[in-house]
Amino acid sequence: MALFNERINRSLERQVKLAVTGLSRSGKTVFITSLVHQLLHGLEGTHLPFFQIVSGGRLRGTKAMPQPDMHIPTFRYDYAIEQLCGDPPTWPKPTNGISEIRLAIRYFTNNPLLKLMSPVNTLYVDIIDYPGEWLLDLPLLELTYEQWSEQIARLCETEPRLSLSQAWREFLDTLDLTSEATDTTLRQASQLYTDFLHRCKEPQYGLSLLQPGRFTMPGEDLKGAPLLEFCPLLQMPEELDSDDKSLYAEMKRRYESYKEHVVKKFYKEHFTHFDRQIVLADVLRAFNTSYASFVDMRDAINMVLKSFHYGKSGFINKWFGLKIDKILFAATKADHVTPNQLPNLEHFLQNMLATSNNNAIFEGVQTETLALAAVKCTQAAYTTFQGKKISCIKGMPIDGNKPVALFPGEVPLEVPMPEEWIDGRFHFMEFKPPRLANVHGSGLPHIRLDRALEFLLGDKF
Amino acid sequence: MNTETWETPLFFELDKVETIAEEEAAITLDYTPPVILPDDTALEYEPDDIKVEPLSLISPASPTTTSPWLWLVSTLGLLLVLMLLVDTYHFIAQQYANSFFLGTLFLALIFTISTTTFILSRQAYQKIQTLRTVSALQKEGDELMEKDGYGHALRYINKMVNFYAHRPDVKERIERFYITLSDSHHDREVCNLFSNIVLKEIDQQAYHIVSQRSKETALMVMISQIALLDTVLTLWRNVRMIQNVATLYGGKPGLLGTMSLISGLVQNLIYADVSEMVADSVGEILGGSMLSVMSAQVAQGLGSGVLTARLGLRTMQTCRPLPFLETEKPRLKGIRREIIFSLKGIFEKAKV
Repeated sequence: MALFNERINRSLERQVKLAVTGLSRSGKTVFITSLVHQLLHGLEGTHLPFFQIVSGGRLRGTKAMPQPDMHIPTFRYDYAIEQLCGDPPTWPKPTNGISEIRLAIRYFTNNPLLKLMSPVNTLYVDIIDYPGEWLLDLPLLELTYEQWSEQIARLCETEPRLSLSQAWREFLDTLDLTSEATDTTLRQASQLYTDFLHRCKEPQYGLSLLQPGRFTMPGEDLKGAPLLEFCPLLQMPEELDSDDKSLYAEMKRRYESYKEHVVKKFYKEHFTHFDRQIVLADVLRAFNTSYASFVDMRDAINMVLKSFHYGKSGFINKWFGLKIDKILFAATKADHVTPNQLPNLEHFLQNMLATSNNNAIFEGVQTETLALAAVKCTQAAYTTFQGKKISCIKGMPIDGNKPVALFPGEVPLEVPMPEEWIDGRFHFMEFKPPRLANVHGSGLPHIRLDRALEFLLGDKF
Repeated sequence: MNTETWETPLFFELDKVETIAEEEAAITLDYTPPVILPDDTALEYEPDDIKVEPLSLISPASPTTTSPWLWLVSTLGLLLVLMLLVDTYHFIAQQYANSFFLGTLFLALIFTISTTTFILSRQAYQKIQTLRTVSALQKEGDELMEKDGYGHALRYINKMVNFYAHRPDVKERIERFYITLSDSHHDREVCNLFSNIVLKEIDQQAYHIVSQRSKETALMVMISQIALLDTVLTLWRNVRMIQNVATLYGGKPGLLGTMSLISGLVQNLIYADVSEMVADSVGEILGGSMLSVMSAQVAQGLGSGVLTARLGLRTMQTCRPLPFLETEKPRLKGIRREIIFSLKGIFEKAKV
C-alpha cells in the first residue's frame, strides 16, 4: 500500500528524488546542507532571486520530514549547519555512511486545473548523502573480476600509480596464484592494496579512480569483514577448475560476493529511482594537484555516470522504473575564483564531461552546466595592480587567521597540455567558511544555487 | 609571379605573426598566473565606472545627411523666419508711428506669443529627448545581455534607476532589487533581476491597459455602423493607449513625442518579424473565422481590436528601457482570447 501511494505521488509529479552525485571531497554534504537551509529559509530574505517559486511569492513553506526509508539514518542537517556556523566555522567532516532527508515544499500552484481542485500542493524532495568513494563501485557491476583486474593493471602502468603500488605489486609477484589460498596471504595482499589506495588518495597525489570504494571508506557495517579481503591480480593464471581452492579462485569469489552483497544492494536500494541528478565536480582541486589527478577525476566521473539510467520520464516510465530526465553539471567552489572567471569554469567543466553530456543529450535528457558555490566564503572586489584595474577576491585562507586578497589566476578554457601543469602554475587557494551572525534568520550566502534549484526543481511546481 | 616551394619549415617571430582573433581566443597560449596582492592594497567593492552622468548627456548619434533637399528646406525655412521677423518689425514700427499705446500692446502680444512658443517647443524637445534616452538604454541593455560579461551592468542599471528616480511607486522595488543583488551576479543575471523585480509590475499594468483599450476598440467598432467613425474611433483609442503605456514606462510623450513614437511604431509594425506575424495571425484567422460566420460586424470589431493590441504590445517593447527577454515578451494570444470572450458575451446577450 505504501509503495502504491508512492507510485501515485510520483506519477502526479509530487515527489522528486534528487541524485547528488560527486566523488569524495567534491562538496556533496555542504551542497545538501546549503540546499536544505536555503529551502527551509525560503520565505525569509531575498537569497533565491532566480528560484521562481520563491521570487514569485508562491512558496508557502518548507519542512524537513521523516524520510520514507526507515532503515536509513536521517541526514543530520543540524550537525552540519552547526559546524558550518560554529566558532570558528569549519567545513563538515567527510561522510562515512549513508543518510537521507526528505523535504516537503508547500506551494501555491499555477496550474489552472489544479487550482480548482487543490490550490495548495506539496512537493516532496528526497535527497541522499553518502561517501563519494562508494560511487566508484557502481561501474564494477558491469565488470568481471578479470576485466576489472586488467583495468587496474593498466592504470598501474603509469605514474604516479606505478611507484605508489610498488609494495603491493612486489608482494603479488612472490605469490603462486594457483596454490591454495590462506587467510594470511589474502589478508596481506588486500592490506597492501588498501594501503596503496590510501596513498593515492593523499592530497599531493589527489587520485579519484580508487576501486573498490569500500576499501578506502568501509563504512560502519563492513569494517574488517572478510568480504573486503581481496584485491585485483596483475596476471591471470591459465586455467581454472570449477571447485578450485586456489588463491585466484578465492579472490574471484570474494570479488563476486562483494559485487552481489555490497554494490548491488547499495545500487538497488538507493540508486535506481532518481528523477533528477546534479553532478558536483571540484575542478579547482584537480588543477591544483596535477595532470594525472585531473585525468583521473575526469575518467572517474564519466565512468560513474554510465551507471545511471537516463531518458525521458514519460507516464509509462513512471510506472516501470524511473529515469533521470534532467542533469545539472556543477563546478563547485565557484567562489574561489573571481566572478569574471565563472564562464571559463563552466566552459571547462563542460569540456571535461563532454562524453557524459553527449550521452545524456542522446538519451533525450536536458542538461546544463553551472559554476556554483553552495556556501560563498569570499567577497568579490576590485583593485589596481600595475596600473590596471583587476577583479580579485577576499577571503580567509583555510590555514590562516588573516584574510587575504588575491587574484587566484585564470581558469583555462581548454584542458592545458600535461607539460603546462608545472608546479605552481595553478594555485587556487582554499578558504574557511564565512562567519555568519544570523544563520537561522536567512539563507546562507551562495553563488547560483538558486539557478541550480530552478533547473532541477522549477518545472515540478 | 612564380610561386616558390619551400622544402624546409620556416619559422617566424611570434609577435610578428597575425592571427585571426577568433582563433586566438580559442587556443590560449598563455595564462595569467596567480597574483597575491600585498596586504596594504586598497580594495574597492564596486566597479569605478559606476557613477552616472546626467541623463541629458546620453544622446544618440544623429545621422548627418547633406542632401540638396535639406539645403532647400533649410534655406526656405530661414527665408520665412527672416521675412516674418522683418514684417513683424515693420508692423510694430508702423503701430508705434501711429500711437504709442497700440505699439506697446502689439509688442506685448507678440512677445507673449514667442515666449510661449519657445517654452512649448522646449518641453516637446525634452520629451522627445526622454524617448531617445529610452532607445539608447535599450541598445545598451541589448549589448549587455548578449555577452556574458561581469561588472558592467551596475552602471547601466544605475542609469535606469536615475530614469525612474521621480517615481515613488517604483522606489520600493528598486530598493528590494539592490538588496537582492550579490557581487557574484553576472551582467545578464543583474539585468534579469532588474526586469523581474522592478519592471515586471509595470509590464503587468501596461499589459492590462493594452488589453483594456483593445477590448474597448473592438466593442466600439462592432457597435458603430459608419466606416469613417470606425477609423476615427480606432485612431483615438490607439493614441490614448500609446500615451498611457509610454507614461507608465517613464517617458511622458507630448503631442510631438507621440507623433514620433507612432511613426516609429508603424515602421516597426511594418517591418516586424514575419515569423512572429505568422505565429500571431494564424490563431487570429482561425479564431476570427469562427466569429465571422456569426457576424461580419463582430469580425470587424475583432480585427481592429487585435490591431490595437498589436500596436500596444509594440509600444510596450519600444518604451521599456530594458529590452524584453524572449521568455517574458508579452503575447497577443491572451488579449485575443479576452477580446473574443467579451465580444461573444455582448453578441449572445444581444441575441437574447
